[in-house]
Amino acid sequence: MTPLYLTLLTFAVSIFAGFLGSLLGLGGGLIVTPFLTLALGVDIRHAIAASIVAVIATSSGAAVAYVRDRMTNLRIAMFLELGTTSGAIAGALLATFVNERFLFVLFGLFLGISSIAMFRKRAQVGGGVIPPDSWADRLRLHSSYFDESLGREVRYRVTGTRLGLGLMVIAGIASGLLGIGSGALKVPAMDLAMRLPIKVSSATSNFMIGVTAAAGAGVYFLHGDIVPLVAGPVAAGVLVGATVGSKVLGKIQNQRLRSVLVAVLMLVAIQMCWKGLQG
Amino acid sequence: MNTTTKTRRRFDMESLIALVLRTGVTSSFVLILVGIVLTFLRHPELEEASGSAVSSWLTVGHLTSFPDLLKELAGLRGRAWTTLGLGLLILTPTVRVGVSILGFLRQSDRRFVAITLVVFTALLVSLFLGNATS
Repeated sequence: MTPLYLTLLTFAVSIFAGFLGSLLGLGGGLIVTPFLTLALGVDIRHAIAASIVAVIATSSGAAVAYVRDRMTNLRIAMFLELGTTSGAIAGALLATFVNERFLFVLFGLFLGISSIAMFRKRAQVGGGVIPPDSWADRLRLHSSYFDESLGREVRYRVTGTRLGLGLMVIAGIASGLLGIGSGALKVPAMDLAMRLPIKVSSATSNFMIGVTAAAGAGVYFLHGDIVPLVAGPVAAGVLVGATVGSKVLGKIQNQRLRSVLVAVLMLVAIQMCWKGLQG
Repeated sequence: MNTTTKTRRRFDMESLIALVLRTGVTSSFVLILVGIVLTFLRHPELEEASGSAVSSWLTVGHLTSFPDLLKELAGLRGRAWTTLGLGLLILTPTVRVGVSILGFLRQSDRRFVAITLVVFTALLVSLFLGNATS
């Protein structure tokens, strides 16, 4: 394999990672890290640094369209970032005191249960009656977006704001402790606790993961762990994929999006449990 | 569309954020590509390399010293241009949070000014923490 070939291959794989990551709101790290370490033999530290860059690229690249199309609920995102950022700080401080393997299993099971609950919600159309929530009223979180696949504006009300914030603290702790892109925990929290439309959950999670990743990436950057000739093609590819993905999300049927999301979340849950049990 | 004309009259937070993101993403994309192209133009031997040459190529770190970065940028060194692009990309979410503070100030939404200020501070703290511990 010549460097030119490697660069082009990395670029191509990253396009796919960015495409999938932007649709599901999970970031592009899921595919990038195993590809770099297993297929290319890149050092794990450099691979993780590149995958954090991939998360930022997915988030920012797709958010250009999601924010403009109002698929991202900016107010919800910024409010919930209170939870994710403070959780990430707590996680980083706790990191030396806790058993990492146990946590991987714990979060893996948590995610597995959440994805089953998300799967069971698939038959519901419209989400039923949304219980009133004084926090959502006061913070003016209710909103609407234009759903291309339905061909109409979808108005939605938000509930479970406090529970959602609490779950974001947990998601932040998980990312601070385990270094995992916590998009996998954010999407179910917004879907199940706050009852947001699935596309809004995905686009809002996508928006938020960039902020958590930015703090981590800054550290890697200052330490010189970001290899330009690895992270460069990754970032460029992911940006292309995320831009394409962000144009597709609106057109996908909500039920189909949910099925793909549940399948990928299940895989992540199994991978996390496996990681914990294997050590 | 009805909704866009309605929101255009007052200050539009969505357009501001989208503009910040588009600027950051586009300029970093261009810089990263320029860097990669420059690297291959400067090192034609890279197209033939294999084995240990490839693995050493995969570990060339980025530049951590700012004066060195400027020098290599001026010398049209590929890795410097890619490094600059990656740095800009990493800064984009932080700038986005910073700009939204200004946006909420403009909307005089005091509650959200406070929320984004806390997020911004937390972001800086976690950067500092991570840098101190690792």
